Amino acid sequence: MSRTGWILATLASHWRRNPVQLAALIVGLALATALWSGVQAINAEARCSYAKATALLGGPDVGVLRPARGKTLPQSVFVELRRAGYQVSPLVEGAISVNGKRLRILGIEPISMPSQAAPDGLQGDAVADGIPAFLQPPWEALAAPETVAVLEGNPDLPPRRADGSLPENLLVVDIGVAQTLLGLEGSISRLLMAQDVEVPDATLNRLGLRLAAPSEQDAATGLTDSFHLNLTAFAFLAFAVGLLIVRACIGLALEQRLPTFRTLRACGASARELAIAVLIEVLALAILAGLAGLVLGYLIAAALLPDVAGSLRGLYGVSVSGTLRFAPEWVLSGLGMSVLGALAAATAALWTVYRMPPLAAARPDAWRATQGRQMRQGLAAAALCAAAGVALYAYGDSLEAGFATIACVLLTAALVLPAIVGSILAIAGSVVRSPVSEWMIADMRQQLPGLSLALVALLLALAANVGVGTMVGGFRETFLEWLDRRLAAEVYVRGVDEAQARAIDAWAAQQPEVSELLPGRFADAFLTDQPVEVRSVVDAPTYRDGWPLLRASPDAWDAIFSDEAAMLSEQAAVRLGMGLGDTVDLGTGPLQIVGIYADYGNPKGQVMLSLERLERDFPDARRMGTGIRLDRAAIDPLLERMTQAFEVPPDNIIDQVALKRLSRQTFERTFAVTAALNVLTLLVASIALLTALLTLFDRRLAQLAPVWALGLARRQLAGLELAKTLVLAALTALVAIPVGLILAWLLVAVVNVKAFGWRLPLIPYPEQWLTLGLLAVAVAAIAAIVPTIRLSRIAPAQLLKVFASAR
Amino acid sequence: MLAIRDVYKSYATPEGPLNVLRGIDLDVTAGQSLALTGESGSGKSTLLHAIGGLEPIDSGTIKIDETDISGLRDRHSAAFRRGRIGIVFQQFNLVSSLTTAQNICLQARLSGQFDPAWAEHLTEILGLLGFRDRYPEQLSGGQQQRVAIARALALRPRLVLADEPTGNLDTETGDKVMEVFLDLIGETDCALVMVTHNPRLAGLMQLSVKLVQGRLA
Repeated sequence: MSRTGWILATLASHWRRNPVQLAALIVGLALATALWSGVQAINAEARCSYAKATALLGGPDVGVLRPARGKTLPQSVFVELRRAGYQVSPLVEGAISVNGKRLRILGIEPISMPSQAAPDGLQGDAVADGIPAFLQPPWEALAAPETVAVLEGNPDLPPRRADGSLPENLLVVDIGVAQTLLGLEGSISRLLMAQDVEVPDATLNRLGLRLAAPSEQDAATGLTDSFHLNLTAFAFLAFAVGLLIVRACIGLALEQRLPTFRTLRACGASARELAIAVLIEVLALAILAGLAGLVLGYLIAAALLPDVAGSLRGLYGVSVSGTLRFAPEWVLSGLGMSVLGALAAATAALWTVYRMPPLAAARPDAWRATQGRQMRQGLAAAALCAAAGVALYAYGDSLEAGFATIACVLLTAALVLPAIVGSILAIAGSVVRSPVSEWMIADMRQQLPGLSLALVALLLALAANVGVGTMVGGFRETFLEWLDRRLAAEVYVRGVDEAQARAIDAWAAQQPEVSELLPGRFADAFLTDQPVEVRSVVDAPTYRDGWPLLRASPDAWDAIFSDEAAMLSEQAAVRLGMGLGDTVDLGTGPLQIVGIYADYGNPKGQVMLSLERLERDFPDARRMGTGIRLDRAAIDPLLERMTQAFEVPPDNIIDQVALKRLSRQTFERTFAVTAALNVLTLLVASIALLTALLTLFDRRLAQLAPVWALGLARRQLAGLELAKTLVLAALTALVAIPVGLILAWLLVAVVNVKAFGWRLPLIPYPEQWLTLGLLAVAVAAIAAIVPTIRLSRIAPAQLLKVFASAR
Repeated sequence: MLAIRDVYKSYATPEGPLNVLRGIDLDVTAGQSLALTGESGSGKSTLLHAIGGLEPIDSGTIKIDETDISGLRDRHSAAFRRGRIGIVFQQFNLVSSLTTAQNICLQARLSGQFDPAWAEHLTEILGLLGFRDRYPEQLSGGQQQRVAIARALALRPRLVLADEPTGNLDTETGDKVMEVFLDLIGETDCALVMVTHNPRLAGLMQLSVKLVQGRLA
């Protein structure tokens, strides 16, 4: 074996003799990597789904012509363009429900389609067999293998062929088949063309077309970026908490091995060789723990992915595969983070080893002597972090700056925690009188440096819980109140077509039990190059009294119904930088903004006009379900009469209660992932505390043995040890609450506004703080239970050995 | 074998430089044993550490087998030390996570000069056969010091440096350890430089010098 090998073997012997410490290091790093790589796996899967969706239509290499207004075009537009010599290809899209699940249908015309836009199943070698089967009865359809499996045996759809390049829940069929399936005979949704084809603006205007911006084709990526950034930020927090365990373990191992380093130096190992050996050791441990973390991360991601997919579908309407694939992207990211994290945690140790003189004082407690200096340095660094946080808050204007501000707050809190807890203990020490209490507080102060990293881990986990809990709690309250206002009508009815919808509206208006009728329409439009929804409102008390207005001009509703004004959703106002009194133009004349309203959960900005103005400006606007206000007791008889009078499919009648339940489910699912990450972070922190207590156990004996010799029973000592841990955890929880509130405030006032465009009220939940405080104490109790039991059962001989060693 | 010429060493203190070694000149030939005696703070241990390349000197030369180790960089000084010099500390300085057998072999393995038969011989002579798988914490002070001696001799060094090797042991145990130690030194024909406060131990060496305030008396 080489010299480095022997040095490594000597260093490794420390881990053999201290397996708990080794386990702590590996568990800490594995957990940190697991949470990070788990979230990266989820993000990678989602991005893969978006990429497939974008790539399916050729991405930026393919030009797209869309209807200037509305969702569809007459098929004759395609015919006219082709006759004029433009190489365009028609496409129709929509969704149908199959066994209660949404299935996207994409109808294409493969012969005229730009080659880069065609699915793999209709390209290259597949053309010869694929295209004839696609274009002739029984009209073979293409779908992702997972979708083919889900649709197995369905007789209502064309036969399916698997195509791995397609996203899930999508069926690609011939355009004629799609038009039939979607009930869009004679209509097309878009026209595709090669990027070099240029259609003059005059022709586009005459045919009611517009050239879609490249960003529209990649809308899913843009919209969901903030969601993924949020997940990444949480994963990074969990990673940082995990790294604290690693930092503590490596620091402790260095401290315990100082005599070994000194001996190795005396035996002829150079500082460089020692530093290289420590580096190799850290890298080996990082790779080992990283691999374990990847497996764990995969399991976490697989467990969370269905909720994330549900959230993304609910929030942004994007389809993400519910099955996780092993992608090199997140595997490498996880391993990379594990290695980089371990190196970051070991930097100080490596530097110490490299700079260590051969006769370095081999006192295991040497670090404690520098406690005061370290604390002063920590406070100076905290002041710098706090200043950076304030500067970022004041001058930062992006989501990234928001997260950086949060990082500064957490780092500041982490750096000042030992000083705060130390000061509280110092004050307590000057107040207590009994000798045992005096010793207990003095001992806690001495114990603080060894436990400070674990306490910081607990602080970060608790602060994240308080912050996110406050944000989610406030959001939930606001959301539920908003839901009550937005879904005020007891029943929503949608006619199968325009004629039936009009007939139902007319019929309902004559029913005596109906107190208000709230018909509506919506259309798509652009406002300063950003896609927005335009929705209508009718003059009714439900809207005037209950609409969730955040800000409004006096007589805002009268202005709206004078057809010269509009209201903006909060996210549209934030994105466009507009406020009350400003003017918007949807291409149909100026409208003054008279109100800003909450529109949670809608990724698009929204503009609200009177129904008359909307019907005038957007003649092909689609109908929304008509809201019907009536006594709840009168719902069933009314619906019975309605279904007798009209053939309304059951799916077109939506009870408000069911709709609210669905909305609440989407809301809860959205935050299920956040809650899971919160719990996991707290778990990592509890492991940090447990490992710190276990690894410090032997060193603690030197402090406990003299007190035992003076007459405190082992059991009594064990009880005091437990009490000390609980007090330290409780003090940490006390610091975590204000830090968590600052975090919550930054989340609602900065991050949410940047990420989603809405600002939420900050509602404090003292009962939640109490629960978390108790949870912190419980976590500490669980972490301290093993060392406490060990201490209560320790053999007197082991305590006596302390004196023998001292001699 | 060991030639020390005009060696000076001082430490910076808040009160100004503290001169620990002031112009030391000393020669030890192969197979010779030398006792370094003197009051606490006279510079004995500093001189010993300087000979071992563990402590840099301000000026002068320390040559071992014609190699001036005072001018070597850390890497070369370490390489020289692991191949030629065995050190026995007062505090034993065993690696607590290695067994007796592993501790004995440590330096010899690092230097690539491990001789299993010689290590076995040392283990036997030093009465450690029954303790080979024990860890340092499971050994008495005398046993730990014998392990430290075995480790220093296992690489068949040219020079052994011992810093109060029996300072932590009672008189009877110390005498026994020294007896075996000196026998083994004789057996290996290496030079020995030993720091001691004990005049009786110093009397067992072939040469004895006394340091007074950093100078040879």
